[in-house]
Amino acid sequence: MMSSRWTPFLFLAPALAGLLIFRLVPIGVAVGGSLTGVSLMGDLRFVGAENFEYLLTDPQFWSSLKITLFFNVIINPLQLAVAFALAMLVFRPLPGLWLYRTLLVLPMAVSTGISAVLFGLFLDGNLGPLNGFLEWIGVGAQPFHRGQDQALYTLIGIATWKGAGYWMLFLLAGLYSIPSTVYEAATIDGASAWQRFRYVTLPLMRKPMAFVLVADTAINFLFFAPVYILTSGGPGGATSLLMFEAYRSAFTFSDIGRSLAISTILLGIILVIVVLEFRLLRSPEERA
Amino acid sequence: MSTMNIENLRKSFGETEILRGIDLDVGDGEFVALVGPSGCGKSTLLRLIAGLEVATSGRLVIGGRDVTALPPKERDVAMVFQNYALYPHMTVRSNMGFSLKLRGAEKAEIERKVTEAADVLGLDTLLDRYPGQLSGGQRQRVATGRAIVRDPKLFLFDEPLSNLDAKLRVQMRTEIKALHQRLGNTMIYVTHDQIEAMTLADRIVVMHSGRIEQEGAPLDLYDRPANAFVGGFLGSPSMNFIKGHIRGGSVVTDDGSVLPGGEAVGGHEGRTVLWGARPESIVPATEGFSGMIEVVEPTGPDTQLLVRVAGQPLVVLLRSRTPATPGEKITMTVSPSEIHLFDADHGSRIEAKP
Repeated sequence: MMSSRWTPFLFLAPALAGLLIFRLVPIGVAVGGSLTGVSLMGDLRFVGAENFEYLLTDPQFWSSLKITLFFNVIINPLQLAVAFALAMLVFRPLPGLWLYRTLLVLPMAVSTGISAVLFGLFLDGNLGPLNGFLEWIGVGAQPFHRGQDQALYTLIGIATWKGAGYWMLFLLAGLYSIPSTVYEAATIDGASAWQRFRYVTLPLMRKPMAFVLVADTAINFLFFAPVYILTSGGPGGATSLLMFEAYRSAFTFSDIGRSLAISTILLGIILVIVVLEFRLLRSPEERA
Repeated sequence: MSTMNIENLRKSFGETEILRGIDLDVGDGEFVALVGPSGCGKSTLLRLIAGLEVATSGRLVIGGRDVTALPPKERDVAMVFQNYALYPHMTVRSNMGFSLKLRGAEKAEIERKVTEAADVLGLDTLLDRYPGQLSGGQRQRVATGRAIVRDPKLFLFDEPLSNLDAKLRVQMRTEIKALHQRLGNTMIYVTHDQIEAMTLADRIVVMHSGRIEQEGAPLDLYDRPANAFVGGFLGSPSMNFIKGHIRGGSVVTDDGSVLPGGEAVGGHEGRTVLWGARPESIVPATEGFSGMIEVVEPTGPDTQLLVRVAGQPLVVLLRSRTPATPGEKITMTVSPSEIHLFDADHGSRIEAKP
């Protein structure tokens, strides 16, 4: 039996290679690229922190940053809460449970791009069935993604429709991992249904909730396709999330350096927030 | 007052009837063990008493109050689970004080009661640990402590020692017995381990297929089992049974071997019976029935023999280091008062007719 201290690394090698090629190298290239600029003559040169210095004075960047943070402050807790509520609903036996579960998970199977196009039709001012319904019940048509005040919330709604069922799966698995005897012990100890949720379910769901919150945050900071398809950052910059801003810098204004600087800042923000979230959701045992 | 009365309690899950009419009265301060093989309904009965399951019919009274339809919270019972069911995210202190906290007790009162219980169980140094940092025996103690803190009308134990290793199980058994003597609460204890039931309980209730087969003091059940099931279930190694007919004061097997008939044969001439004798009741003798030794197992203090009698295996437990060799013939006898006769069809005990 051949075995050495390199054996584990050998087994890890394919995964590590993938991580290196598809994640770490592009990150390195992006961070490196954020320190470069294109001269008038078209050649690439090292500019140091110039891209970053410029961003800090750029009102467009600050506006995007604000929108991105606001978007995430709303969407991440919202998706976690909705996913948790759905998981609680389909946790206990219920007639037709498989149907509810399937329906809730189904949005996962629709690609982000297609779901954005479908929502565009669904919410359309002239053709959309939702506005038809709203007019019929007397609320009146809403602009949704075409309205400056509603566009960001519309995107949040679409993303939650698509994401909640997926995150629900992790939370559902978490709920099933809590032994039923712990609930029975709490019942005998005199806990009401609400108290069992508050003192047993919630604290024991910390780990799956932490995972969902962190993974969801990372994904939502990189939220892009529906912005590109439905709003193009508008109306009036209301949905100009940083990812879209980075895209525009690179492909509309051909300012690769600015684009990569935005991406690098985004990466930094995600790292900081993820660390904070992990700390926030540590169990008391881990804190001790 | 913490008596418990069960009247004709039944429980079905769908078409399957788990409890087929249970009647049981438990006195104040009594320690009752429910024993039986797996699937006999003993755990279901305990869960019905706790309120974790709802009875299909019948009545359950705790401390003079009909609780049949009440939720667990209003029954004032505490339960120790087989897997302990400790709250993994709470310290030992919080685990034990949780029920008091839910009841809205003062912090100082919770602290006092938890400390008291921790003293009794030797948990005082572990109060700030989490269940994940405790050994099996310590977790078992915390689970017991959580019940003690409540000072409930009834203590319910659901196979509390079966997740422990053999040595620890014996130690905790003694601790539970001492605890009962100290607290004096009414306790109902479910186990499949008949030794645990024999050693702990004031009264044993033997269950089988959703019914109570027999109840009574441990040694009464051991000495006078009401039927072959109880006779075979209590005692280790278990009672030997050989089928035969009563003929002239003896039990004659199909192949003509003659076994001593004992005290119960009177008035049953010709009846087909199960002849029962405990392994330790069978002793070597100069006169009696004989068999061929097949296996010799010295256990230290005892010697266990497997003897073939009338074509059937018979376990004999000799309370000495008796030299014996496989292949040897052995002659044995049983004291007449230690021979049990059961009806061959329905297994119920046969007593001599006057």
